[in-house]
Amino acid sequence: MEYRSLGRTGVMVSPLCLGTMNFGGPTDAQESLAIIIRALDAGINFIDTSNSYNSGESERIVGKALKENGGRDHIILATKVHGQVGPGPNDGGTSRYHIVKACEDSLRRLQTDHIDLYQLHRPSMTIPQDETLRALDDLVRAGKVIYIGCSNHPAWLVMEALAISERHSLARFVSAQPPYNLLDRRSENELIPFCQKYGLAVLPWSPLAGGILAGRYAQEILPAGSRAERLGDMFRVRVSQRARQAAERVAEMAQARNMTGAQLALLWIKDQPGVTSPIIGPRTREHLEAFLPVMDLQLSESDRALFDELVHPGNAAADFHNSNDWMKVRITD
Amino acid sequence: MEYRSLGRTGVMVSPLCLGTMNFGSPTGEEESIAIINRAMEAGINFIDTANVYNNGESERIVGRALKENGRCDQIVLATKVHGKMGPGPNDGGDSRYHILKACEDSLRRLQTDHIDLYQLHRPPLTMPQDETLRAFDDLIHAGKVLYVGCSTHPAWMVMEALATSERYNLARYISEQPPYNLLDRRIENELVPLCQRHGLAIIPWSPLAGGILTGRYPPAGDLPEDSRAARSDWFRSRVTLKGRQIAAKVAEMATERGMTGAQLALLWAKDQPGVTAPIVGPRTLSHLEEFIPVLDMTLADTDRPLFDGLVHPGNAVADFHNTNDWMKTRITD
Repeated sequence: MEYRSLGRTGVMVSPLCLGTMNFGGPTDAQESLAIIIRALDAGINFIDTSNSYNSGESERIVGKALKENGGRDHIILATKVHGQVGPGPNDGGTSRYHIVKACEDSLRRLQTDHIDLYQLHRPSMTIPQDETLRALDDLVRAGKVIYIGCSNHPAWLVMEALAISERHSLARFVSAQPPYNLLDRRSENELIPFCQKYGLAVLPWSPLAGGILAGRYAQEILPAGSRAERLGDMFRVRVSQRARQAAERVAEMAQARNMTGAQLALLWIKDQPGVTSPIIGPRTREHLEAFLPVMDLQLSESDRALFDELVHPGNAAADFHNSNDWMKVRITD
Repeated sequence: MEYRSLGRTGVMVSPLCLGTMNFGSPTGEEESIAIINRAMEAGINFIDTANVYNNGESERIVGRALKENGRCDQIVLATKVHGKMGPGPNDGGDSRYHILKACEDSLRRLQTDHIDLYQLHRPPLTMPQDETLRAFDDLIHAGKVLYVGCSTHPAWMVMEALATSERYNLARYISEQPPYNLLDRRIENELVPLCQRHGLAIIPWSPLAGGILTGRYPPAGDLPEDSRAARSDWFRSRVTLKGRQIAAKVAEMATERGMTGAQLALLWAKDQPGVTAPIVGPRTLSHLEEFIPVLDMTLADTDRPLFDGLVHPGNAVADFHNTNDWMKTRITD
């Protein structure tokens, strides 16, 4: 398997990152542990979680798994801060006050003395970024965090952050984690060229469009227990007709190549220019097994062009930016 | 009339800027001069041209008009550099080599000793921005340019330019000139918040969507033979059916308010958050007469949501970014 540098850092990560948003939610602790152990077994060395996933349960499960199998030292462990984790006005956000506390909480749940990649889950448009970057820099100096990154930021705000880090000699963001999949390619206009120029790793979330590209929504009626049925409007509006049709085409292409639609869609995003490691979010071990072979596959250039015909570079057929306040465009049928 | 500060500079400009792309072709010299004089009489003090407009003719006509009416010192005069002015490999672009020569050429055609706002017509995608900004800064030190701005840049490159200027103590961009109108609102996602945060003036081009919003193109049927869309491919692809239909709705709203569609669409662009002065590009004196009353109007806050109902904030139904290499998204019917 080809490991890739996490942006300019030189740290080598597997070309798929294990996402853990389901752990402690629809996926119980036992199955979650089995998924983590199988992923490590298969060579995945990159795990992404967040303090807000299932109220800390996801971090707790990841911590327990790494403690039990002793794999912590070989893993690049990423988590995030920003989401509300309590009722108080300072129980979320990007203030130094919150970040320093939230980091301690994450370390405790993860049962580790340091986080490898500590990411800002969402941008804060209302507080100056030097406040946040100084807090993150102090965590780096204290040895509690190795690298810092951002998630769901508009490109210009990441550029602003880099300039602030340089001006004040603070640690800089080494990665960006945007929503990016074949059905929402908007990151290609600004964020990807920017990250390529400045050496930031790109870690796409929802590479399978929340299951649409896995054929989860092939039927008219939303499947019981599916995210679109469970998680309500925000996810339901992402399941557009155009998206379902594109997913159907991907499934046909995949069949002709002896793969599943999910595998082909994942391969595409893994090998898009600028991408370091898409974040897969298996709900079951079976899901994970289906993803693993993709780590050793390579997208052919002739196939890339076919995907560009399905969804034009930079375009979107489904709205995976609809949980970002700053992205005003709405994508509908 | 309410004059507005040109970004953070304190220079006051009229809320409409006179664009001169038609001067020299298709608008003849005498009519062009009449348009300039009438605009100034009506209180417009902001004129925008470019070295490439009709191969320098536009600049030459503006220069002659200001020389003849003797009011050059009351005008905020803007021009641009970047476009190809000759067959050689250095007859365009963003190098210091080209910019210093191009500036002398513009000064000569404009018959003036300084340019108030000198703008980079398109972003320098292939060379480092400090080269360009240093050239601009030297022009400012030499007294040949008062302010520098950019045009049709992605937000992250404007941010990169600001950071570069700060790092090297160079003059910073004080304005950005993007395509922006009711049919293509994409700059609302990244560029507008950036400019608001960093005090850049926004000077929208094509505020009337190249005539679509004036009713130049009927909501159905063939394109008029003498129209821009009939003459040019890249323009024709902007004239979507959706765009034409929305223009018809704007015309209906305008009738109810005792205005023309062009006036209402221009009023909307003028009073959108972050906008300093949309650039009107009259082809005839009667076009200009139609635009002038808008200088004294204010958009009702109750009308704003009606426009948002026609085209959602941040969305596009016609592709006014299709002359930007960096914008990959294509908008079609």
